[in-house]
Amino acid sequence: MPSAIQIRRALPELKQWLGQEVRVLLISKTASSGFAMVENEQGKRRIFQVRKEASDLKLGDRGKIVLGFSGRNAQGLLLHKAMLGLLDFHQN
Amino acid sequence: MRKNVYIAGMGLTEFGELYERSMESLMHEATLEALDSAGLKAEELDAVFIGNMLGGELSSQSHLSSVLSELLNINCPIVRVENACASGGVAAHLAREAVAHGVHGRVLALGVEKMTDHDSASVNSCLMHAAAREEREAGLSFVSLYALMAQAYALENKLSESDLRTKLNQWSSKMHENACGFSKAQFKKIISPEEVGQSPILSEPLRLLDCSPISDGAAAIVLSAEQNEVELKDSVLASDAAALSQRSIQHGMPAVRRATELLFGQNDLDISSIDVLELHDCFSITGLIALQDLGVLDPESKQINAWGGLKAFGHPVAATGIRQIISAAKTLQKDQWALTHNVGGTGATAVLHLLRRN
Repeated sequence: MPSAIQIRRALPELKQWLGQEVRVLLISKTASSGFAMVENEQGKRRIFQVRKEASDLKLGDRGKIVLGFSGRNAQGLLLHKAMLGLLDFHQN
Repeated sequence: MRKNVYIAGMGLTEFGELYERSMESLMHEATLEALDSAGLKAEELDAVFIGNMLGGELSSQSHLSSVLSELLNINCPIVRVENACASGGVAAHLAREAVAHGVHGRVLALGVEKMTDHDSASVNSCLMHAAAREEREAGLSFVSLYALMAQAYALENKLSESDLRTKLNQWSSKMHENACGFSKAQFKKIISPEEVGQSPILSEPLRLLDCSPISDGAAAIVLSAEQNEVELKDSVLASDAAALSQRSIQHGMPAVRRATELLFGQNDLDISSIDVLELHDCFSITGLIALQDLGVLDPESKQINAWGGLKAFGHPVAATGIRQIISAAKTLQKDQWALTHNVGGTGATAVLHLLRRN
């Protein structure tokens, strides 16, 4: 689990992605959510967690980065939960 | 002038869920066996390199040099090496360099990991220390990272989901078949390709039986410039960004490709010269990616992971790189070449070793 100060340090870089239009390059779905490698219009890449509500997301889709919260992954392992400011991906 | 480096002795514990064994007892057993097979006493060692990733996190012991000093009652230089799942291979690399450059005469390279004292959630969280910060923040685990790489591999090679699944099923099934002959392997159980394909999905497209296990174990080799049957001919190390998104490609490992080019270039060899391969298949897809990165076009012509690889022999992470060298050395026949491929993270560290039996 990241500490509060680690979360605080991570926020500025994460916030830069908020509201950005991105394209899905790679995606892997798990039982509870999934992960997508996305690329923004400047060609910068990052991996984000995909929320369950966006489970129909597929390769090549374009969408917007929104604020959200993470949960358990498919193995039922709690790696990092509800990290404040974690960004999720929702389709337009 | 560089010296030739030979494997003088080898030691290997059983790999698996060894609840009665401590990290210290595993490293002691592998070391004593390696010394015994080399016909050496501990005090005859000039230096030791210990590969270990998770001793601090999972056994509350990161100062392994002091532990080995006490176990063996020796006072030579002992260094702990940490490079994620490549820690063992990097320890062997440094040990080989020390002998080749004449810094030390007889050097022990040891890899040890004790992983099963904790629940898998804790272990997976600690393993993610080898990933990038942005990947931890997103809640990723290595199975999801390799799942993304599997998708990139399928796209690059124009494989349908079904074609990829067939290849992954065959890999895992073959590894279990290979491990069956080895008493020290973690899984000595045949699984069919169909069973792999029907196991639970963890992170699409990867399933439970695509994954190597969490394991305990230790492996050790003694290296020396005194001529012996198996020569550790060369070793190359390369590195890359931890974050998968920051690499030039996601369907392969640029660090492995760089190391391969260097290794073959400086030995005037190519992949067709290699008879025995030990590949780092922490997931079935990692085995397929390794074949592609090394340029293997005819896998049927080579002995690949003859002891079952990480997938079935087990993967006590820092012991793996040295276990691969032992497997390769024992599989090699006279005048054959072997190559071991050991990676850390999703390929941020790559270490290759070249062996020959004279």
